[in-house]
Amino acid sequence: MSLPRVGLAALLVLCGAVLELAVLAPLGLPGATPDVVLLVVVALALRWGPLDGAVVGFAAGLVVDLTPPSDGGAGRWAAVFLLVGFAVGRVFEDADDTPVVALFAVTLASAASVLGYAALASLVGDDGVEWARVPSLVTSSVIYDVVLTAVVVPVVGGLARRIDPEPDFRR
Amino acid sequence: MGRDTRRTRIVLVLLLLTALTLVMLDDRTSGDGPLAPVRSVLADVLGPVQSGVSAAVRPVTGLVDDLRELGSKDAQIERLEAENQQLRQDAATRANDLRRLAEYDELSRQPTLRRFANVAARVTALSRAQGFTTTASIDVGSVDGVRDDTTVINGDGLVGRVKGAARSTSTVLLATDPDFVARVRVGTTGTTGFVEGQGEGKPLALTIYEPVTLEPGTALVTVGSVGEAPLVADVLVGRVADVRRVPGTLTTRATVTPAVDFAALDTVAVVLPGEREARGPVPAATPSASAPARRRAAGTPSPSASARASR
Repeated sequence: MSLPRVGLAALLVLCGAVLELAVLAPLGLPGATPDVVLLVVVALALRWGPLDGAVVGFAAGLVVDLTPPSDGGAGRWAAVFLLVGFAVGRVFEDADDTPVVALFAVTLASAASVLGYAALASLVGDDGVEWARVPSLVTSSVIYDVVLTAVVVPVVGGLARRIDPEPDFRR
Repeated sequence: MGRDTRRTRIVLVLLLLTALTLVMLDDRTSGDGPLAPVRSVLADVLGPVQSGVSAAVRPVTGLVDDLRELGSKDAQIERLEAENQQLRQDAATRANDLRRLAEYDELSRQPTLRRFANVAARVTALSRAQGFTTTASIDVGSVDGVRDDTTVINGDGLVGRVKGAARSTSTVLLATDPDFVARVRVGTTGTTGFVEGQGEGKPLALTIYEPVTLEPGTALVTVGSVGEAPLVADVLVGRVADVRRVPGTLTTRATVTPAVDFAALDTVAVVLPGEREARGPVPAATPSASAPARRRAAGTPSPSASARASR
């Protein structure tokens, strides 16, 4: 991962985390909170491939785990976003760079991240996980994230294209 | 995985192991895992940023709140439709200001705040709904005197307790969080039980290990803790909604409607530790009090004290 990539990823992830927790969460939308950080991870993984996607996912998840008002349970979103970043980079490695591909990737990633987090949290014995709420969380999360894709993914993709026009993740 | 390079596989496995190690080390219930310093540094850096962003977008989010409320009030919709766009925006932001003013006003009348030193705060960020926690960031921290395990209230009642105080921001565990537990007293009878959070948007759960009769609407107040941490006494937690008693058991369970509207949480106050008004003795009911009290008043040492002195 080159230095410009690290800088861009850090900037986008931190902005996404602040936007998500200070602006979107207090809106009190029904169901899940729109996940800007996840969209950044997906957009960068689509652009940079599985290895960098996984690294960005891990770092982004750790930021979400530790940014206030988090209160423990670090590593969970890191594990979930790590796998999401890797899987998106891997599955869509040979896909074209089209909006349809991005929408498809976001839909899968959004649903998988909510399910994955709930599974991991209940696996480590967190009593707070309510499986009854999971279907509505998955649905609302997918809807919000798909809507936000139209804004976030082109912006992130454009910035990524600016720092290295020819991604060379097929090594 | 056949097409992945050796490097990709190694990085993937290493990072996954790191994440899972963190999951094991940083147990949510214990609070101060090895990552507490990292979290605190991040809170110092990102907390002020969140406060700034939150303050900057507050007119907009306030507008959204106000517009959402309009949907339920036909009369208000009709009145507002008659006004032009500019006027509606003015009214919306002004309503937000008035609401804040009313919240401060209510806070100043909150009886708990008359008993304890406190600091007013505003909510700057909330936790993600898909994380199954309900925590909030507020814009006061250790420089304002906030410590871990202090009570957070608003004009209506108990909001939660401070779980992590950074320099200029703090994390509050809201009463609706599944990790939140508070000992409460039933207002009418004095029986104690405990109230637990059940997640966002859900009522609280009351458990009393005694067969008691509860009327819906009965107020529940906090019992309070030794040293006023984490909770001070006599804060309104909520009112009993549905009482469930399984026949043949001694336990009384009920759902509790929280006193605080957690969906519209904005202005709160943190009770500061260590400062409170001195408590006097119970005043004697009649002039002729008990014998030891009379002796003390007359300056005569008690028998045991004089025996010790002569030895």
